Amino acid sequence: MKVLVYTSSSCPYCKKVKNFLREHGVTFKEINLNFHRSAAKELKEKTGQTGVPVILAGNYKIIGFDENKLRRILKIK
Amino acid sequence: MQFTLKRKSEEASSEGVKSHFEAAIIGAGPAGLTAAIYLGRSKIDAVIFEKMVPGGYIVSTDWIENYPGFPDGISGEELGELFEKQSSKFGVRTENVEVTGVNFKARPMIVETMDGSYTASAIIVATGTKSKKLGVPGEEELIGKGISLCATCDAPFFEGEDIVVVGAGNSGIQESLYLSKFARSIRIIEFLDHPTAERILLDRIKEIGKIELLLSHRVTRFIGDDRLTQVEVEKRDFNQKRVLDVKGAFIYVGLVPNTGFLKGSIDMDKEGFIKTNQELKSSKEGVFAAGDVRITPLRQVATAIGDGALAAFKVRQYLEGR
Repeated sequence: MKVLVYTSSSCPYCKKVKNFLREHGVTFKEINLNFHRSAAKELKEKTGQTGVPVILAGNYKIIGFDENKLRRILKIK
Repeated sequence: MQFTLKRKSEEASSEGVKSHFEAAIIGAGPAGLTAAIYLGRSKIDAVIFEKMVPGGYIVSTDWIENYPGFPDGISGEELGELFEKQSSKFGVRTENVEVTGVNFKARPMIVETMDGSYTASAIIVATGTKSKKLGVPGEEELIGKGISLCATCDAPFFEGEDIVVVGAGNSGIQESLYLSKFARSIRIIEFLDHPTAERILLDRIKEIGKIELLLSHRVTRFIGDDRLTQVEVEKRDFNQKRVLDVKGAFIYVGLVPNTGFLKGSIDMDKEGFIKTNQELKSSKEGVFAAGDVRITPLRQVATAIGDGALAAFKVRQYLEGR
């Protein structure tokens, strides 16, 4: 499953998500909005969200650091 | 995560307890990490619990200029990383897990986490604070949909937009300066008839033409179906309401302590800040509090650092005197 993680540089929950995914061997692509400023607009239009982290995994959207949801969707034990 | 090779002072005696430590620090912000440096250097077998990332509240602060040693200022994120780097040198074990409860009556005391229980002979609570919300209609529903409590996290979503910042204290003004790099216009809404931020910050917002101060106003409602579109404000005393068209709102109206997990086990004030004496002792023997989480007239990195050092020193004395 393709995993995209939208982040920003100073966001503690973004670090928490990335640490969690790395700890569990999940490969993901990070899009840091501080360096990809046009991606913020796209994300806002696509999801209605104005906060990070947002994780897109296949057809699923996960807002914030939601460990239970991450485990369930990414099949992490 | 670092694991200490030092001796365990006592073996965990209770069933189900993962480990025993001489001292446990709850919270790895500036106060907790400083306490870790001092305890580690005293060769006290200690653990520090952190549910998020080390550094605490400052990691989402754009820029810090009033902490000595950095004459050009430093980002909160970088300062947090430096604190962590320094504290990790001295052997205190880090557990990246949320503390969910405590038992300060038991001896040794018990710290319950999402991953199991630990015991400790002394505890420093250094869990800091989080942003206070306004508690007005529309706020909860629109957080993440136009309303934010973290400018450095969410500013890129407001490129070219009109926004408001609520609160004209140091945080509100500092973060407005950061937001001005993204937003088209910023109105800072302050309930008082004067801003409470440092003059140097207020001078800077004057230099940026796009920031306006709206004093003696309070937010009464956030409006929007699935996205924030308007903010209703009321002028103090005159009871005049009006609506501002905005796409974003950032809230900096104060702090609430992260003490919910203590469930009233030590004396706190009405808001949940911990009562301590001058030696940072709480109402329970062997429990100390340091940094923003305790009742204190000033909550800054500089004051948290001092608290962390003093709390660790008093823990050492307490352990030696038992």
